[in-house]
Amino acid sequence: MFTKKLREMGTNQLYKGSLATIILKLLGEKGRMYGYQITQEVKAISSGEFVITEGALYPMLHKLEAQGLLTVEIEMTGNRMRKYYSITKNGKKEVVDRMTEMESFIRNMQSLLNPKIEMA
Amino acid sequence: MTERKLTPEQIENLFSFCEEQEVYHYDLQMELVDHLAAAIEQKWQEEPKLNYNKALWAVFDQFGVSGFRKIRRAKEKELRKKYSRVLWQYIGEFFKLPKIILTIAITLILFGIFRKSENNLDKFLLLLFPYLIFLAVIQFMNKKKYQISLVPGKSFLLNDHLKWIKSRFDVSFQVPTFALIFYIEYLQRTNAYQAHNAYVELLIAFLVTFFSIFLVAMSIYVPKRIKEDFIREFPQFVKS
Repeated sequence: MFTKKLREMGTNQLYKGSLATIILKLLGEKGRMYGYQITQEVKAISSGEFVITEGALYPMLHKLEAQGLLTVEIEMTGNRMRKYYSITKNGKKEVVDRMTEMESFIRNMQSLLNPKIEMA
Repeated sequence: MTERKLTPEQIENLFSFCEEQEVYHYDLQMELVDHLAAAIEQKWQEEPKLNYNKALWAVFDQFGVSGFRKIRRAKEKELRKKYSRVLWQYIGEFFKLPKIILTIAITLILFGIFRKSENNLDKFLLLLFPYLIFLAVIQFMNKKKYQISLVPGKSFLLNDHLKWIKSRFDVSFQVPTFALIFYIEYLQRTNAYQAHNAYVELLIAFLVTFFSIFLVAMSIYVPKRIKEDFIREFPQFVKS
C-alpha cells in the first residue's frame, strides 16, 4: 500500500511538470472541452495511470487562458452554464515548441538511463 | 432507465456551497458548479441511489485539502498578471516605432517648455496649461471607462479587478500633481538668475512623458480591455 502510494506520487511528480503540455496537446487534438471533461479524458487516455487533481487543473487552465494560449466560451448546458476552453493560434505554436522540447528530453533521459541501448 | 440529473434547486445549492467555501464571484462559481454537477451526475451513473450530499462531499474531496481556496487565489493572481502584461505591452509600444516618435516629440516639447519658462513661475504655468487640461481629460475619461453596468446581485472577479486597477489609478494620478507642486515650490525658491541644468530638465521632461503614457494606459487602455473581455465572456450580465 505504502509503496503503491509512493509510486503514484512519483508518477504524479513527473506528470506535474508536463500538465500544461498535456492540456494544450489534448485541446489541440480534441477541440473545445470543459474542465471536468479534461480530467476524465486524461484519465481515460492514460488508462487511469494519471489523474489530474482539480486543485491543479483549474489554476493551470486559468494560467494558460491569461497567457492567451487558451480562449473561453460560456454556454448554457441543461440547467447550468458551462465554460469551454479551446486552443488559440499562439497555443498551437506553444504545443509544437513544448512537444519538441519534451521529445528531446525523453531522448536524453533514455540515453542517460540506458547507455547500452544507445551503444547498440 | 433515465439518467439521474441535478434539479435546479440542487444547482442553486451548489452555488451556496461555493460561497460557503469562500468563492464569492460568479465567474469562478459558475465553472466550479458545473464541475461539481458533472462529477455528481457521473457518480450517479455508477451509484444511482447515492444521496446528493454524500455525492457532493465525495466530489469535493477531489479538490484536496485546500479546496477551492487555492483555485480562487491562483485565478486572482493570474488576472493581475494578465492585465499587468497588457499594461506594460501597451507602454512598451511607445518605445518602438512608430509611437516612439510621439514619445520623443512630447519629451522635447516639455523640455522646450521648461527651457522657455526660464524658472519663471508665471510663464511656466501658462506654458504648462495644456498639460493640466490633459490631466483633467484623463480624470474625466477614467470615470466613464471604469464602469460596467451589471445586472444586480452578482459579483465578478473581472469586475473586482477593474475596481482594483481604478484604486491603483487614483493613487498614480496623485504623482504628477505632487510632482508639479514640488516643481512650482522649487521655482519659487530658486533665484531666477541661477543657471538651470538642461540635463535635469530633460530628465524631468522624459519622466513626465513616461508617466503620462502610464496614466493613459491605466485610465483608458487597460479598463477598455477588461471591459471587452467581460462583455465577450458574460454578455448576459451586462445591462444594455
